[in-house]
Amino acid sequence: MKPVERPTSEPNSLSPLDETPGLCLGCSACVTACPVTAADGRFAGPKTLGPAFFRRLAGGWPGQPDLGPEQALSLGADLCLQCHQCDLACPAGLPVSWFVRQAKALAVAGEAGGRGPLARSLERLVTDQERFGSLAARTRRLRRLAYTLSPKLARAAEATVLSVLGLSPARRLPPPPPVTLSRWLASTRRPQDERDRPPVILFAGCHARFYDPGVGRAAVTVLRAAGYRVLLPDQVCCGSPALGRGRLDQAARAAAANLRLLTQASRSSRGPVPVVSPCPSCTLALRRDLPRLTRAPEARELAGRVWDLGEFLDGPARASLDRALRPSGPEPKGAWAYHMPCHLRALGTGPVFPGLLEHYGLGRPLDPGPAADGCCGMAGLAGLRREGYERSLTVGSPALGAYRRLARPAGATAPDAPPEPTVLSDCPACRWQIAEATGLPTAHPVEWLADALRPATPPSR
Amino acid sequence: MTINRRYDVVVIGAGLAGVVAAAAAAGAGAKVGVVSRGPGNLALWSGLVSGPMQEEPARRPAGASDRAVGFFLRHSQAAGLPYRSGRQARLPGDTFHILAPSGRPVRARLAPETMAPGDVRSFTGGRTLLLVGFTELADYPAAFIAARARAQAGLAVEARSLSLGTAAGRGSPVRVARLFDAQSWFAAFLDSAGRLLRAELSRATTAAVAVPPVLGVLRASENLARLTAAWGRPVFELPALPPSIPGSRFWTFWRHRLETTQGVRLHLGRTVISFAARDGRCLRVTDDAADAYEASAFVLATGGVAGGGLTVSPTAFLDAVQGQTSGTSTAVGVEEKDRGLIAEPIFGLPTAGPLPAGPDERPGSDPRRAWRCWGVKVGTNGASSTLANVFVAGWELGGRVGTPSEVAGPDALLSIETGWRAGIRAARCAAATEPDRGETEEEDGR
Repeated sequence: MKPVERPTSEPNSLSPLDETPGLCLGCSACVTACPVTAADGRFAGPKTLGPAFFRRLAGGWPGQPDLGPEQALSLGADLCLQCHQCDLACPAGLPVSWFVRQAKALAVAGEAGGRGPLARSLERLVTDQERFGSLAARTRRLRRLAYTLSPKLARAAEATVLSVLGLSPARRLPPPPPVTLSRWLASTRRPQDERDRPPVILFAGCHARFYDPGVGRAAVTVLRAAGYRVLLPDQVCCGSPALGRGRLDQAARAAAANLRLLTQASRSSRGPVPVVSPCPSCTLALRRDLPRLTRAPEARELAGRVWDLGEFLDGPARASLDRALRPSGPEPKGAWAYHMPCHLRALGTGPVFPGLLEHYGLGRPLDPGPAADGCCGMAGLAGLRREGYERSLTVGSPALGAYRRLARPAGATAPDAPPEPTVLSDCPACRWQIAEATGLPTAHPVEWLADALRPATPPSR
Repeated sequence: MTINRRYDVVVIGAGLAGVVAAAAAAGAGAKVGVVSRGPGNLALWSGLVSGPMQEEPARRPAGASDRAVGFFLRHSQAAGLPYRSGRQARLPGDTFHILAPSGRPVRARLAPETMAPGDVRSFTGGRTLLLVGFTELADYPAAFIAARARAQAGLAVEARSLSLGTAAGRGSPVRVARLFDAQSWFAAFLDSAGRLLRAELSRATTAAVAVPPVLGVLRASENLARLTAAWGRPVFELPALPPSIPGSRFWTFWRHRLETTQGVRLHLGRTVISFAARDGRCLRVTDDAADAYEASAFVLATGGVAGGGLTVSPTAFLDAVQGQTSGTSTAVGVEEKDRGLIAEPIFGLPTAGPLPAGPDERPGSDPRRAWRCWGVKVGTNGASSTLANVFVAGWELGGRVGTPSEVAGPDALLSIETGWRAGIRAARCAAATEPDRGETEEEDGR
């Protein structure tokens, strides 16, 4: 009998297992899913910048020069949008985008090194939504006043401020809200039996807390109708903008703060309190990145009870929601299409809201075709940045084109013409991009559900 | 905290077999959920459907092939990505002969509409095929492919290479396909390529033009139709190395139809790791995020050894081969008693497959490759022999096993046939089962 050579296996020094690039065979499946590779010839793609780059970064490669910011930049690592679609394509189930993020962090640090201290602190401000957003919220009265006095001047001033901050002056900030979400929540009449209701923590997200509280209000309204006691405890930015920019330290600080705040908030309750967010990027950051960034044992516990709002309404809240909202009850609100955000895809929930809306009588969505399934290009901060603006439109062009084709033909302004269809999407960045690029109205699907709950009351803004 | 999702049918795996199974089950009226790490190997798939059509009694009842193929053709059309069959095209042997990047023709039963006009048997004698490559696509060396096709297959093929310019960036097929999807860019290409190829196109002997399969993810058919009209002869795509745009198109169009028209929910980025069963029936499976998926019937389409749907213990397998070759064992097939060799990791289902015979065997029977023919053991109804409501599809069933010289790897037709059948049967099984939510006496899976 000939001796058989037995393969030896030794554990990879990098743990946990899902963060080892060793399983990558270089099959390029991730590349086919990457919207940036498709849109920008400078981007070397998730295979090269992901597992392949990380292998060299982590383990070294005999005879290879050390990899640094220069190499990361020359391969276009700064262009990654962290949309996570590569993760969903990998036959080995590797978190490809996690590896690319390391390369992006290097590239961004390299870029920042070439800038002055003022530019660097402005960038820090912009990626820190906790500071930037609360600044925006605190100045909302001033901004509202400016818009009442002279919309033109206010707009010009806004463009200048955006420009100074390194953001694109072509973007339009959401109109300043009259009242913030927490103030609104404090002013609402609480359900009488609230003490007996099961609690749920609303992780509203910076967009709802600072810019557009409408989504947060709708989420509160629907969750209350489904019989929950909605808590809005202290919370900070989920860290997604920092993660997207490769600022891992900043994201880690946000994760640690949220871990502390959310753990505290559920301690006063009898059991673990579900944390529900209407923003898929927040949900993804809390569920996937928070445990990786903090490495605390209680982080896994917290991540395990973070829910996407749609998933929560379709899951635990579904039975009581069915009692509150009668199927086929509300008046149809007009034609709509649904855009599935990349980060919701990354969560693996599948599209949830279209089925819910249809079930509750809001009709079937329009079908803009497979082009609309792609990334809208915004990717949060990336599409707001001055140098990212044009690129975001290029990345998003197939999807945005598909939605544009849903719009009424120009000139169809006859009084009997049907209203423009609304594009519903869970993600505030997607809504922002689609609204600006197509001119179509947008909304979070939970806003439509909330309206369906009380069709008699016009929504207050 | 975990979610308990309830479906009629849960499909595990979203490669070709899983996607076809989901479409078939949803088409039969079932509420379908798909749980998968990702789209299997679709990004590596050339888009051609190869495989023999003979009936193989245990795995394919009479007529299944034709009905499965009919379903696939209809569904592809409805999804916006039409396929053609060799039979429809009235080709000899009902089979396409399509020029592969190796320079040799490969046989296919079905071909995407974009490749269907490319049967090489029409390019002999005075009829020349003009093979156009793009300089930036390093993995598609047109001159090399044409030279090989002339030398190896005796085909009349000439090559031209065109540069797509700096817009093509680093030459990723994904980038190039996006350029072709942009209508303004394509209009410019149509114009300049026509000028650059004027000499070749003016020759009456140039019977057709072949291009790499990068003419867009979304608009390839429209683009080819416009090129065909402009150049006055068939223009078609040929298969290329991965990353494969035709495979990516398939995923894009079929996923869209599943999600929008068929109401199928895709849970991607999830790996199924355990199950719960009672009385020989699976009640639910659980993924790596601890979410549970209840269903009345399941389709297991996890891709065999290549897809991670079967795991091989290399040492045990080699030991078995060793025993086989040294004559200490006489078994030709290995069954339950040797389950440790090749295991099905979710349900622990029994597997079966061949061990190759002696060391002096003919080429193609390399003992180390025999794993490709291993699969989960199924009954005549395509369900697992131990869990009656788990239907197995695609490569998870193993390859087509014949005499040792015919041992071949799995093929796309197998995925379509078995995916379609598993989907239909799972939907029927679910329709016949009253949802039973009793949780007593159940035994938990590993």
